[in-house]
Parts: sequence; structure tokens; C-alpha cells
Amino acid sequence: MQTLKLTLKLLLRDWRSGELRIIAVALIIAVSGSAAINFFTERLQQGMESQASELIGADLVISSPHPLDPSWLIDASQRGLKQAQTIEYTNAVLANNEFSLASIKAVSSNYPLKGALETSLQPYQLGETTHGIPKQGECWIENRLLPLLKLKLGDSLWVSGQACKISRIITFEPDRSSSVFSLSARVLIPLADLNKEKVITPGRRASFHYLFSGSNASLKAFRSKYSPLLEKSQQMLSVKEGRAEIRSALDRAERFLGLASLGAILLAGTAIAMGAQRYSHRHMDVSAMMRCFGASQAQIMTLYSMQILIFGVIASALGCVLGWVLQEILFFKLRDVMPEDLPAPSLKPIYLSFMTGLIILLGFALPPLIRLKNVPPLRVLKRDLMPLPTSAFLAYGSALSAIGFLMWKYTESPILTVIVLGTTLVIISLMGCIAYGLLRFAALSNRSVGVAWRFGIKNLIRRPLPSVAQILAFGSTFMAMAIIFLVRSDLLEAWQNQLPADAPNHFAFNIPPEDADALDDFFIKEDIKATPLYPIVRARLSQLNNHEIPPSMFDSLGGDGFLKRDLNLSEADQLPEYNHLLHGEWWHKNTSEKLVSVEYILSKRIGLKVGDRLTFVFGREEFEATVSNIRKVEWDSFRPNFYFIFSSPVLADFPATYVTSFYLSQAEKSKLPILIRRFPSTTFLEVEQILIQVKKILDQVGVAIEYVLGFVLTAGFAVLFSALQATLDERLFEGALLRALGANRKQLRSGHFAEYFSLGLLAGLIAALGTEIIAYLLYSLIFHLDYHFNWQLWLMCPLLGGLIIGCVGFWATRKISQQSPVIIFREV
Amino acid sequence: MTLCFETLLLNTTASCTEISPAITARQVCKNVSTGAGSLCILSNISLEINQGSSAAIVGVSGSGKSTLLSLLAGLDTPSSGEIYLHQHCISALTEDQRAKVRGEHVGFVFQSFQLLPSLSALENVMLPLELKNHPNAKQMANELLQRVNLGHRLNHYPNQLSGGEQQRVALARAFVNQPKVLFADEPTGNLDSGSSKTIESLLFELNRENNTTLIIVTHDLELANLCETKICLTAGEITSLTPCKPLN
Repeated sequence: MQTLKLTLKLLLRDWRSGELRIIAVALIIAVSGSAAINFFTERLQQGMESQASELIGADLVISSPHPLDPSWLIDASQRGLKQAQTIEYTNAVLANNEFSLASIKAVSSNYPLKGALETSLQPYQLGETTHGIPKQGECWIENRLLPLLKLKLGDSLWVSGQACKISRIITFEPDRSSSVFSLSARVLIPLADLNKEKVITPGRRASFHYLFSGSNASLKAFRSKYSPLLEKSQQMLSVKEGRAEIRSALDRAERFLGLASLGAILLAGTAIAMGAQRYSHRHMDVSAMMRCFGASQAQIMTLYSMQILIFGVIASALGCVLGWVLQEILFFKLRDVMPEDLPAPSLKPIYLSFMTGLIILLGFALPPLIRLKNVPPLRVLKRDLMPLPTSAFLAYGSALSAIGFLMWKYTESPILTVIVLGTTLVIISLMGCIAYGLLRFAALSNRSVGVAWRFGIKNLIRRPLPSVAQILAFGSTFMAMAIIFLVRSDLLEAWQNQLPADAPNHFAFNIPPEDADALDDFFIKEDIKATPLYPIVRARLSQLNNHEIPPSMFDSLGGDGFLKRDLNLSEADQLPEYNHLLHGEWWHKNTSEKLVSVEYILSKRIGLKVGDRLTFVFGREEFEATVSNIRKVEWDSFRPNFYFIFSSPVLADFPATYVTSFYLSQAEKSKLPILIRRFPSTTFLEVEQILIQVKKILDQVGVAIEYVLGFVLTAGFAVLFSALQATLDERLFEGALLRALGANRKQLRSGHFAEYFSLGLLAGLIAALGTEIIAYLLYSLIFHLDYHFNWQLWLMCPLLGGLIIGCVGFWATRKISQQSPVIIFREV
Repeated sequence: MTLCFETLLLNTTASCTEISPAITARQVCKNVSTGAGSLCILSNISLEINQGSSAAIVGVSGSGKSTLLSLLAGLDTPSSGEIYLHQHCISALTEDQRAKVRGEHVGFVFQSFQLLPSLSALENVMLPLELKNHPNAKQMANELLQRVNLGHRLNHYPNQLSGGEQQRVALARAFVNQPKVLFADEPTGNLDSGSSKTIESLLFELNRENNTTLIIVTHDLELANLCETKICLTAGEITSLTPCKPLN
């Protein structure tokens, strides 16, 4: 109790004397930054996922070829999850003595749980949001079924053994994207009308979809419980798995926010380490004095550990409160672009940020403080006696463990943790060597500059190790800031490019070959921007290098077995837009060779390489092609994308339909009904809603990223200030001494500016180098963005570095010219 | 002339048979290694200083005065030989054990005062007691500061005090623990003559009041002459031991 009292007293006295302020500021920045980011991302993700869940019709969907065990559904109800069910199967529908295959979907009354259907009361019209499902005895159908069966609204359609009245035309289904290329038209009926015993018989392929929505915690618990129990033929789908276009944006945003918050924490950690170093240095006399008075090493250690713990708890708590306030302000400012009905923040960010504060403080500040227990008491007589430095293993090990743990906790990605940690270490060592080399070079070129610059550069060279350490601290700070800035700019640019204002917002598919040219002509005549028409031949992959593909390989491909089914194959003379060649070469336009281009991720999963031979089966006919190249596909580009694209000789003899995507502005919307009427066999799908949703999400993430950058910059400046403070005493002392010896104010001030400017310049140079290396690795391994050399970095980093450090250093050393040397001597 | 004292009993106030020595040093040597090899700072020092006596260690700069003080006070350990402080063989103790002995028996006054800048005068004096969890730290510190005539400066910080005042705070801090031995390293070295006189008289008054053994390292012969014994060091060896005027 007495020790606690003494600890509190000393802590209070240290606080009063201002010794702990830098550490406090850095810690509060780290915790509030991390809390604000955690709060913000948690709420934003919940919000975005709730918006995005409208695109799969629920928060979570389980698809199964047979009905689910009813106990799962009972459990879901007990967990408070809302449920809906759909059953899809293909069957012939009849009317007017004609029949056609249709994709029938029987839906429960509360379908969909998220989002809404769009329907119209007139054929070939734009749809409007519709709540509810067809009444019993009614059905809703797609436009393209009307000409096939010579139907009109109000007619009866014979579906699975019973007559239904066609009451609406479906124009949009929220959860349909995965099967848009289905050849058969959609017929929607109420589940109550489905005679399951008659329709769902053994041997008939039907898929059962169970839709769930509810609180995140319940969903997570439900998901974790049942995900491991799924059979191979069953699939659990949440928003992220459901929509490629959103998945990629969310994943990148999450990675960026994780990286940025780590950047802020790492920077604040550096600031804390430097602050603690100075604190430890300034407390050596105190420690020596206490040792003189009889304090044991354990007593000193307990005192300082308790001090740091109490200090950490208070500062972290303050940081959490500040973080909460900041995110509230942020959400208030962004209320126009944020999702409505945002869930209230949970306690998780508080817990996470609070722990972050303590871990970072202990990891970074404890090693310098441990040194204090080793201060020899003899220091009271010989002030130059220093304790043995803390072992490098302890100092760096402790900081690395803290950062490694936090990285793993934040990113939940061991790869990201290892990459960032490992590369940062290697690069910092490399930067240290280069900084030393640059200092030596500066020493050589020192003679050709003026007196002030000579004085400044000499100061740096005189203390090579502290100077290198400072250059590294500044350099790493600039590097972290530059990386976050760069990634942010390129991510935003990539998203803007990916979804330009005129990104296709409609798909046309099932285009019969005889209509293909006419549709193309229509687009040209009406000046509608469209992607080329791609033929689609549906065939199944059967052999790899003349060997049957083993079932185990199918099963390894994500478990959904899509390769077992007929695939959409296409052909092209040129590499399609938004595809990037990774290996091999694209074929010559008029090639007679039978070649195929394979999508990269698929190629990796099956282990395909250029030169492999693939055999496909179309009906009973087999055809072969050699893998000519591997390409990366931007699945979120809203354009027709394919796993396999063939050279023209391969698919020429097979019947095909065509697919394209095109953009219609609001003013051109009236052309859609014309298109639908003119090309009745073609299915037109409006993806405007999805596009708007994705764009909105990207906008929100974009704004969040801007704010996160703000945190990183603030943390960066805390490091700069802390690093300046670290050697400030020595500089103040020397400056005061020079003044006492007669140096004039101008000489000293210019000398200090030159010294700090040179520091910043050198730090900027190595920051540019580090940024290029780390950004390249991040772009290629984490963000999957194209990296390009940034010459601006090499100009801006050194220049801004020199100016910022020069000015801040100039400001920090102003005391020398403002105060009497005697006061400075007394203070330092 | 080099004198080798096998044992010097420094006691002018009491019989050696009645009072056990406060400090005993036997054949103490201190060597330090330098780039050019081993350097002998102290050689073959043997002495005994009895409780309640006062001794001044004098000598030119570099003669080893401060090193001897640091060894006798248990701040450092000898390369060879033994040192006893109130029956504790401090040369054989670990640093933590020596710290305990220092905490129980020793007080310090330094040339540069060594007050903690972030603590007020009162807090500086309280610190040694607080480290021992003393329940009346504040009251005792207050009394001692009153005793050194700084009752009106209790809440002032070191940089708000003059050199003389700072040293008075340091004196109060040294005596607050009621140490059996007080080591003073050039206690008046940084002070003007007026302040020196004040400190000198306070030092000896408090010494008498507390029956403390006082060991002073000083260049100041006047101060040295106030002690009962003067130990003269030359090049790390005791070259003379001169009794000064007896203290009453």
C-alpha cells in the first residue's frame, strides 16, 4: 500500500514536472486512433454489410441440395434469427399448348430478408421496388417467358402440376446474381403452393436456400457452430462470399484500415520508446539517489513498473474516451454518406484499444525503464557512470513482440504480420546502413558549404550513432506516412477506375446468335457504350493432360463443385478489358491453333500452367485446347468475365448464345423497354442497384480512409516531436555553452536549422527508398494492385522532410536564443 | 614519504574498548581497467572510524578521496580487501544487500546537492523515509526543514532555491533518516563563503545532535580542521593521519 502511495506520488510529481507528457500524448494518440478506427470500422462494416446483405437477400444463406436438419432451424429461431426459405429447381412450364424450361423459385412469405424484389405490372417496363411475394395461386415471371409461351399478364401458367395466374413481371431479384446466365427464365411462386412431395422427388435436382438475418453476435455464433458441420455439397454464404464486387472492396478496405491503424500504433510506439528513453535518461540521477537511500533494485523496478502501469491505464482510458468522441464526430460529419440505422458501437473496440495501449506501453517503454534499476549508486558521485544498456534482445524483442501480437490481433493475418514485421526489420537495417553511408558522404562534401551548414552537418557527424538513430526514426515515420498516403491514393484511384461513372449498369445475356449482330448495331446506332459481345458455350472440364480430373480435385476447389457442372466458356481474339496477362502470351488474331486462356486463381487451385492440355465435354463431344496464358480478372468490373477464354478455332463448331454488358444513363433509360421488346429472347438484367450499392460502399470506405490517414499523420508528428526531444537537452546545452562563449544568435540559429534540415533531408531520402520497397510488396502481395515507380516520392520526401524537420527543430531550439544560458544550464 | 597504516583507530572522544568501530577498512585496494591496462586508484587502505567521530579525507584532485568515500559508503566495491560498516562486511554483500545497509545506516551530502528537480524541498526530504514506508515522513521532513531554517521554503522546487538553500535541504534529507554515518562529498564546494559557514555549522550541529559518524571529503582545509581527524591521501595511499582540535 505504501509502495502504491509512493508510486502515485512520484507519478504525480513526474506528471507535474512535464516529464511524462510526450509519452502520454503518444499513448493517447495511439489508443484514441486505434479506438476511433476500431469503432469506426466496426460500425462501418456492420453498416456496409447490412447494406451489402441486401444483395444476397439476407445476412447469411445456407444452400443445400436437400432440406436442412430441422434442428438447425429451431436453433436459429432460438438465437433470435429471422428466417426465410427458397427452393429452386428447373422444370417445364406450360401455357397455350407450348412449354418451356423454367427456373422455378418457391419463396416463403418473408422472402427476401434484406433488400427487395423489383417488379412491374406491365411487360417490358422498368420495375419498381416490391415488398411481398406472389399470392397463393399466382406467379411472377420474367419478360422473356412471355413471347416463348405467347403469354400476357393475367394469363394462367401451368407450373409443377398446378395453374398459376401471372400477376407481375420480375425485373430484379436481390439474390440472383450467381445464376444470371441460367438459360431458363425465372418463375417465382409462393412456397405454400409448392407440392413438395410431388415436385421434389429423388433424382430431381433442387436447391434449398435458407436465409437468415439478425444480430451480428447471433449470426457469428450460428455460423461458427454450423459451418464445420456442413456437407461438401452444402454451402454457407455471407455477404463477403456472396458478391465478388463487394468482397474485393471490403477486403481491401479492411486490410488498409488494419494496416493504417497498425501504422499509427507503430509510430506511436516509436514515439513512446523515444519518450521513455529520455524519461529513463532523466531519471538516472533519481534512481541513483534512491539506490543511495537504500532502495533495492526490485523496489526501483516495482516503483517504475507500477508507475507505468497506472500511467498506462489512465492514458489508455483517456484515449478510449477520446476515440469514442472522435468516431462520433466523424459519423456525424459523414452522416450523409453513411448507412442509415447504424448499430451502436460494441465494447470490443474499447477492450481492444485499451489492451493496445497497455501492450504498446509495456513493449516500448519498459526496456528503457528496466535500465533504471541497473543505475549504479556510484552515479551520485560520478555522473558519467551509466547503467549497462538494456540487452538488445530485451529491448527489440519486447517491442517486436508487442507489435507482432498487435498486428496479428488487428489483421488476423499471419502473412500480413510476418510480411510487415519482417520487411520492416530488414528495411530498417538497410536504411540504417544507408543513413550511415549518407552521413559519411555529407562529411566529405561538408567543405563546399557555408559556415552555418558546416556547423550543422558537423554536429550530425560528431554523434554518428544518435544521428543515424534519429535519421532512422524520422525516416521510418516519413516512410509510414508516405506508404499510407500512397496506398490510400492508389486504392481510391483503383476503385474509381474500376467503377467509372459510365461503368456498365446492365447485362444482356442469352442473346441468340441471330440477334447478336442486330443488338451490336442497335448499340452503335443508339450510341450506347457496350462491351464486346462474347459467345457463351456451356461445357464441362473433363481431363487435364489426358488424365481424368480426380473427384478429389473438384472437392478441393472451394467445395462448391462448380467445375463439375457446365461452365460458361467464351472466345476472344484480344485480351478483354480489365483482364491482365500474368504468364504466357495472347494468341495471334488469326491463329489456327486450339488455345485457351485460364483465369489466375483457378489455375493456381488446379495447378494449371502454360502448355497444359485441357479436355472439355460438350454433350457427347470432346474438344481439347492447350493453355496459352494465365490471366488475372477483375471480377468486380461489371463486365462479362470468364474462367476460360478460347482462341476462335476451338468453339467455332458449337452452338452459342452471346453476352454483353452496357451502360445506360438515366436519360437513356427509356431505351431499355425498346431493347426488351426488340430482342424478346434476350434477358436484360439491370445491375444499377448493385452498382450504386458498391459505389456507395466505396465512397464510405474512401472517406474513412481519409480520416485514418489523419490519425497516422498525427501519430507521425508525435514521433517527430519525440525524436527531436530525445537529443534536445544535449543540443540546448551545447548551444548555451557556445552562446556563453560568444557565438552570436544568428550563427547558432542558422546552424541548428542546417543541422535539422540535413537530418530531415537524409531521413526523407531513405524514407523514399523504404516506401518504394514496402509499397511494392504490399501492392503485389496484399492489395493486388499494380505498382508503378513514383518519382515524386524521391522529390517530395527529402524536400518535405528537410523543411518539416528543419522548421520543427528550429522552433524546438528557440530557447537557446531566447533564454539566458544560465537558465538553460540549470534546466538541462 | 609513504606510510602504511596497518590499522588506524580514529577515536578521540571515547575509548576503543567501549565503542565498536562504525567503519573498518582492511587492506582495501581499488583498481580500474583502462585501455592502457590496470590503474591503481587506492592501495592498501586500512582504517577504523568509531561511532560518533568525525573525519576529513583530504588530498589533491585524483588522489582517490571520492573513490575511498564511495567504497566506505558501500556505493562501490573494492578490488580487494574488506570493509565493514556497522558490523556488515559491505565488500562481500550484493548491491541490493549494500543498499539495505545504506538505507539503515548511511546518509549522504553531495557537492552538487543532488536534489531531485521534480520534487519540492519537502518532498525531497521525505523521499528516503517514503522508500522505507515510514508513516510520519511528512512530519519528520517538515521538522528537519524547520531545523535548517527552511520552514518557509517547504514547497519550493530546487531551481527556485539558492545553492546554500539547496544544500540545507540536502542536509535535512541526509539527517531525516537518522543515519549512523554521514558521508559528505565536498559539501561546501559549490557554495560562497557565507553559505559555506552556515552549512558547516549546521553539519556539525546536526552531527552532534544525532551522534552521527561524519566522514567528509574536502579540499577545504578550514572545514577539514573542524573534524577530529584528517586523513591525507596521496596517489591512492594514506600518507598521514592528523588529529585535529578535539571537539567538545
